[in-house]
Amino acid sequence: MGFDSLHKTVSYLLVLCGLIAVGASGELIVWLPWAAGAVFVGSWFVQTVSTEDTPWWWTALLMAALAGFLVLAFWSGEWLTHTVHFAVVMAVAKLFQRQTARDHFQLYTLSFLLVVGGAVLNPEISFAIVFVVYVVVLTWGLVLLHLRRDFEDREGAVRALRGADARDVESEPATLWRTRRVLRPSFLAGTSLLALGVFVASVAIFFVFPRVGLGFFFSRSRPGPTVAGFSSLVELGHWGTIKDNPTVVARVELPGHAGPLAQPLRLRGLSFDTYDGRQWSRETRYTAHAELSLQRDGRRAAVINEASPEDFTPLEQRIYLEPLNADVHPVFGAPRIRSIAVDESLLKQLGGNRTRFKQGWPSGDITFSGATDASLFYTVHSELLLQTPPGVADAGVDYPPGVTRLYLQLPDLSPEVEALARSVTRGAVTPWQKVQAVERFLAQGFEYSLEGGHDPEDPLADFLLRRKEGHCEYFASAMVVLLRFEGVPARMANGFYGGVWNDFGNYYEVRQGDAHAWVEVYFPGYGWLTFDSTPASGMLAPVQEGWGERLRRGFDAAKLQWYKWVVEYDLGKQIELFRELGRKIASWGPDSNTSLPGGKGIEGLRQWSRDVFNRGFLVSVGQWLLGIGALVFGVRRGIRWWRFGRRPGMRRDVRRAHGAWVHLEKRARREGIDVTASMTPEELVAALSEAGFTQLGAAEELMHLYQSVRFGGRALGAEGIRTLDRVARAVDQGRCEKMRRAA
Amino acid sequence: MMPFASIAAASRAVHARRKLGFFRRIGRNNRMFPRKLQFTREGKIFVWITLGIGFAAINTGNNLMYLILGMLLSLILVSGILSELAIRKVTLRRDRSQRLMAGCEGLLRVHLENGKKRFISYCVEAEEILDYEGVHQVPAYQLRLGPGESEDAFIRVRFLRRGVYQSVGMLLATRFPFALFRKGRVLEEAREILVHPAVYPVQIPELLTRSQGLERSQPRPGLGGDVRGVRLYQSGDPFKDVHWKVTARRGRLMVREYEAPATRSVWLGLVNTLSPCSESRLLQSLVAARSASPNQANTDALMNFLKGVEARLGLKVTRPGVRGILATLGLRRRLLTVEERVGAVEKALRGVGKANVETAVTYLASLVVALLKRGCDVGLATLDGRVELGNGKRQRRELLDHLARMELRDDAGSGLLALPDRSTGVECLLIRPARADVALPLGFNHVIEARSLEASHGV
Repeated sequence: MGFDSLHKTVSYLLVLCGLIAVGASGELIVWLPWAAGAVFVGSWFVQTVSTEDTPWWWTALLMAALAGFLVLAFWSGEWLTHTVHFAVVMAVAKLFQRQTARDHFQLYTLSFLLVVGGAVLNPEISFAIVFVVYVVVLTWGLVLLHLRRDFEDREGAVRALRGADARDVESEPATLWRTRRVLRPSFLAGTSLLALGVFVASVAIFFVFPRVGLGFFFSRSRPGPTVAGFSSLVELGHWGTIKDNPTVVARVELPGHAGPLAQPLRLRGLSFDTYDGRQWSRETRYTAHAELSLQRDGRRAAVINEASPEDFTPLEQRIYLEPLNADVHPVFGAPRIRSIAVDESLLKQLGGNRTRFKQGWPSGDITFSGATDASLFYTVHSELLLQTPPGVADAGVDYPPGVTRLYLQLPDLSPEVEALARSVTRGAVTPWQKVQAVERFLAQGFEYSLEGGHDPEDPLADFLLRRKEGHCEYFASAMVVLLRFEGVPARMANGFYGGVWNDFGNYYEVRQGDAHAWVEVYFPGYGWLTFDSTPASGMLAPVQEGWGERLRRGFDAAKLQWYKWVVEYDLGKQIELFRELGRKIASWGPDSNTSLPGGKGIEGLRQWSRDVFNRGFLVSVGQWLLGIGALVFGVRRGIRWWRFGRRPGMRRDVRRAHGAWVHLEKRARREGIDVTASMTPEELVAALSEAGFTQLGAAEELMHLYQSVRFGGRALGAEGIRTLDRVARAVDQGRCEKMRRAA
Repeated sequence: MMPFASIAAASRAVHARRKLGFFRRIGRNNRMFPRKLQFTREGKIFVWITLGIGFAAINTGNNLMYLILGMLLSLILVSGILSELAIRKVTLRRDRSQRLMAGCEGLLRVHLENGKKRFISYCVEAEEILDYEGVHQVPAYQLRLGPGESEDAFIRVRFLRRGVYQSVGMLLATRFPFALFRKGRVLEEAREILVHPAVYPVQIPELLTRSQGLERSQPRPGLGGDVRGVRLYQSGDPFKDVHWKVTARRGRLMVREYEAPATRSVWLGLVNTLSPCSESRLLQSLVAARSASPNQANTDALMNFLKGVEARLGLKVTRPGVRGILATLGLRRRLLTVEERVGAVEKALRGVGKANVETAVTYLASLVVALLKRGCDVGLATLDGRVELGNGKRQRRELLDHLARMELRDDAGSGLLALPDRSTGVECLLIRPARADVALPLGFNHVIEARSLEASHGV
């Protein structure tokens, strides 16, 4: 590949990276990416023009585009998006004017602007992929641009030296330009290594550069797909449509857990207290604000004061929540949340120092308000009740008035439902027994189904008395209503249940299909306990398996790391990273008290090394190195074949002709002629002539063939090969008569 | 050898020389700092973009901006490291003697050697540090210099005027890898570059051709004729004249010497002063007359003369630039005063005088070369000295060197051209610059006015 071709390819790749960076954001006008793509491809085949020869209508077109985008920007207020639009137009237009180094530099600048635009509009992992490619290609491009600039400058300098009308400027730079001397394999390999170095340095600087946000133009965190399903109203029958949706809405890490929990993860969102016969709603009166207390590490935590039973398991969850499209924004977490921790940047994002977290009373639901069209990250500490607390079966009916006011509410329902409630709980005395009875009733004779079509007037009665099938909302609503008929305070809660464990990143992927509804029942002295009457077949959303799913999980894990360590990287994380690094370095000191896996201090490090770098490890490293070496060897051979072996017969011809000549030299030596390494073909033939070689004609013909193929670049062809074989055979039969007679 | 007062003094001198040599060595080859750094146009834009991205990143807190900032900073960092690697341990060596000709493109050879064991130096340039106007230079360029490799490269240079140019050193620079900036290392080694006057084809004056019989000129030794004898080899003698048998016998390189026809000899002379031309004298007399008697007639005479010279030389009588604008606004006088105009005209006439002398030098040099080609013995006499009669390549070099080094002197206190006793048949020709008022020095019997050869050859 010549210099021009390589430079053209690299320039096009740069522009392509820029176009993908902004195109993947989804914020561009619909037709623009397609039009730009078509022009991009078409420009490859078109002869470029110089900037001076640009026709007037081309400039007028660009000015018209500028005017158009300015008008749109004024009208819509979206200055950034329309600036990016114009940059796209300029970039593809510039592809038609790629003659000088200056043109290429302008093209690089435009592609860079597009990448910057992509950084603002597209914080997804697709930007990461584009960025890596862009760094590598930009390094290449700058090196080639430098060479082009050098060549052009020298040509210009020589012209200036010889005067403005110099006509015979012989091009030492142009000679270099046209030869492949520049693009040797070592140069190409070195440039690739250089690109890798630039990438590594970029990442290092990214992590080290202090995060000091002055906040003049504070930008939101990444936007993302919105999650439906959470509002202050729940209408029976609507949730079934999202059960199969695999969109990930949250990612939950469990620090301290290497694997999934023994039981499915349950993330509670909101509770609903008022049922009007068709939909559930939330009482908004009697709300209270949670207290924020500043912790030592600078992160604020809201402590929720709530009575807690004795046997609970603490569970810390780090939750990465996608943007919610809802009018109410719950703080998700495993039931019985004890505290929430957020960082300063999130608080800023949510609107500053004003309290943005609310805890409802007596629901205990925690919600937040603020800029919610962006992703969130927070840490929740919950208390898990892994088994029924002892003594709850004997809990009495001493309910607080606030609980009974809200959680015994019932609408005008069919008398049959009330009669059903009584018959289901016949024989049950305590609230616990009533709950067990209702659970047993719903577990028998009812089936899970995502189908709708229940009687819109009284869907619950239709579910309980006639259809006996429905999804989780029906089961939860039924249980709550039946218990309330029996005077047991109960409410419906919704959130997520299950999720998929991602072993690439060790976290739960909570999908939209994991949305679920269950029941919470109040027991004096124990608070709200969770019950789930949905049949097992309907509790967990289906989980795909197979290579496609593995790939998707791997990609999702990469996405999470991208969000954590790049998009959401802030001063707090930076400090934590350096502290961790410092601790690790300190732990290698001889007097350190920090234990390494193998023991304390240096000896521990040595032991750890011995443990890690064992025979098995070395063997596997050796295998990897061998594999990489074989791959590199194969690639080099392939490149060599691509460069030399494909040409029609050329290298084979040379080898063949050379082989025939070497054979002649051996023949001559056998006949007693002193053939030296410095002897030219003519000298050898002259020596053969003096020695009376009987096949002198064939030897001369072989000499001419050999020289024309070896040094003259001639290709033999089939006829030539036959001639070569013939003379080689003839030469083989030749004898030096004079040498023999002398002998 | 310079005697020393004592052994101690000698020892001190030796040590001083060594110390100086040691530092000279450090200064020349191994010093890493200082480096000359010059941003290219692209580099300036790059730096501004980096600053802009940094500002945006800090203000918005957008981490992807930090990522892009990291990329830009790493490109600058890598660029600095690689450019340093490219010029480090690369040594330069020049050819010792370099003679060039004014107005012509010349090549200065430099020898580049990469002293590194592993790293290749890409795109290194070498140029002479010449701080003169009228010098065009294209640095020597080496695209690739492998580890341990050495290559010869050439600096293309064109000097507009003859003279002695002092190069304070050489600059080894590179824009590798990204052409964001040009990093250079100065090698402090001064040297002199001698630029001969330009030489053009010139017709030998008739008086010389008639008197010297140059129309029937014959080639000089080395090109044919009877062998006269053998002599020691001198630099410039053709190898085909080497007498190998005599050389083998005597153990020294000997060449044949041919019978030459009777030599023709010409002395050429040039009075290298900036003597006032007739116009300058006239101007001085008009100014003196006006000063003595500032009446209207004298003023008119002076003004008419000034107008004439200004028109001929294209001088402006109004103030240029901002001062002109201020004059238009009435804040300054727009027109130059009479005194200012007189000063400008004197300066211009002096410049014209200088140019005329240079034209004469060019003509003289061309005449020298033409006469030497015709087989004459040529000698040269100027106020700076004399070059005795001679011929051949060495004589040509000596004559042109003399003309290159010759300086223009002021009129006051100038010496006289001195010639040896003139032999019969030796012509002595004085070359006079145009419009110069030069008296014929003793020994010279002819004067001709120098013609502009540049104009006739379209330069």
